Amino acid sequence: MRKAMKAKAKKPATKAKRPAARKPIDATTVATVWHTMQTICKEMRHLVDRTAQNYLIGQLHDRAPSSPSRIW
Amino acid sequence: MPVGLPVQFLGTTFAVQDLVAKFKGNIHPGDVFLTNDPYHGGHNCHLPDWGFFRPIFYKGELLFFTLCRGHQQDTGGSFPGGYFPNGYDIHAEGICIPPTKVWDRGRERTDVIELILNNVRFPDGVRIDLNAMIGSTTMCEKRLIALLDAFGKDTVMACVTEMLNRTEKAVRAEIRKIPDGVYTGQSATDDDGTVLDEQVWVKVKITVKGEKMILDFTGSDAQRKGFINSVYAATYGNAIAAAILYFDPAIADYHNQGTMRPIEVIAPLGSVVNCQYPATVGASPVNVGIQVMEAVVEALSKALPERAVAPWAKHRGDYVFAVDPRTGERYVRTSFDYDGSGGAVWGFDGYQGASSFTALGAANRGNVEEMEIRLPWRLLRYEFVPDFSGAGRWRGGPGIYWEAVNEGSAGQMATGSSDGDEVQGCGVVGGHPSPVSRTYLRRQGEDHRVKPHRLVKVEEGDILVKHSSGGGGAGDPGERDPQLVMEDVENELVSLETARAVYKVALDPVTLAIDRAATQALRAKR
Repeated sequence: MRKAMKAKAKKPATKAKRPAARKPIDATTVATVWHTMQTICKEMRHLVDRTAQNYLIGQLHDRAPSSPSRIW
Repeated sequence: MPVGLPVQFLGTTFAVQDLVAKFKGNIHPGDVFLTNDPYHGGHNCHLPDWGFFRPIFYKGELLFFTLCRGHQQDTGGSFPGGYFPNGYDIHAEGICIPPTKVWDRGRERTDVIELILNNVRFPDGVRIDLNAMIGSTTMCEKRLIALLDAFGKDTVMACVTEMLNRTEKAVRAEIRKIPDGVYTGQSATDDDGTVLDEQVWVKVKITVKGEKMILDFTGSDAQRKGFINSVYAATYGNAIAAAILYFDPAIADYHNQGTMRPIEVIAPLGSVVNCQYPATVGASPVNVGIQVMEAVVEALSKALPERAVAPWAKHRGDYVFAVDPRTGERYVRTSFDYDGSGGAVWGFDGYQGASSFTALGAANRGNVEEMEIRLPWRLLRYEFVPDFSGAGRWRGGPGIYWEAVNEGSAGQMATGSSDGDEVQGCGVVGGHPSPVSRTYLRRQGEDHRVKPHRLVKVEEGDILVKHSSGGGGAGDPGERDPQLVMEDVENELVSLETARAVYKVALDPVTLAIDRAATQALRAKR
């Protein structure tokens, strides 16, 4: 048990890989895509806040919508 | 790229990885997966937080997952609301749902949903919220496909890569600003809810070298019988959230997985910050979640005093389960109304009434009228209290006094994830810690103290009384601008006596005019 407690945290099953860059991309397009994704996330939040009947989600905002998670 | 509580999403990558491995070859457009399990590949912080994962395909290729996670009204188990302080194991805390497919190619798996809802209280309400959360992932899928249609897959994926790389680069630059070295911090929770009145400690050693940061929680207490244990993903989320506070606010809107690349979190397996099945975890998003954050900010405030962050007020949650006489139905009251305020940040006083540290302002207080309409509790008092936060050059946000009367039936109250009766977060860079908090049940005029992590009976007409302290202070209070001290006295956040004794500012007791000469003399004596 003592040995186990000294072990480091379990690493993710699949080691994270950085997606390879495909082609140069201009700053305006990056900003547009980034803010579109942020907006989607905020829309998810508003949808859940307005629709949930649960006090914790609707009033206290104890929730976390996110978009998107990449597959690493 | 989320909005909400850090502990609910910062460790999500672990869950997505395990989900992809578990369902390899069986992930299709229109699928939705649900998990609330801290173990078995769920990597969730505690059982009430249900997460719905939807894979997003484009032209037959799986590109993304989206997630909506939220705290459910009930998740089964020994006590409604999910904060049973004395469970035998995690199964006493509620239904454990490993990553499970609840929608298959666009069709609900109704038998699976019914099995789940049959194991929670208030299934009709939970069903509505379940649909709302799944609906939000559907909306996300539609919007993302529209984005892919508009820009093309190659461009969108190149932008994603660019965003991750830019954030990583910015975070590495921020870490380089921290002097190389080893910094330590620690914090404790009052007890674990099973072994009472015995503090449980979280310790961290942070090593900064160049553009890499290692947060090592070796030395924290072993996992406990009580429900304050944290799984690795939850510790990871809270630790990263605390570290991010020390980076330039200009990049606050740009954090993503790239942020995590230069930061390593080590948590010994079998410890209170990386517990093993079947340890109970009910309180862990708050306790020891707050302790994880407090240990990190204590350490990093030593490294970067000009960005020092003091711990926030401890969470003071109480969860009442009884019957509402207006409807004859059972209810659970869960609220953050009675939490204190934010800790000071170097250069700024703590946010007023900002709820607890792990929420970081994302979750907040409910509307009083809404609470009174929904639940048979009527608020009697709700006010800031003088001298009830950590003093400092920048003081903690104020503590509060809160009183409400039970107009419903007798029932049970769990003081669940409350904390701070014995141990408060520290002050930083010479700031003072916050005073301790107290909770009482006033019955027939007599106050009965109720400690955190307890289960007690409430009667009709009981008055719940909360003295919830505020956040910690930053910097020497003797260096606070006397004008700000005068305004604090005027706003009844600091008393005249404290202004003189702690802040070393002499004020006229009637006009509150600053006596400059007396103030200078008081400060010269320090």
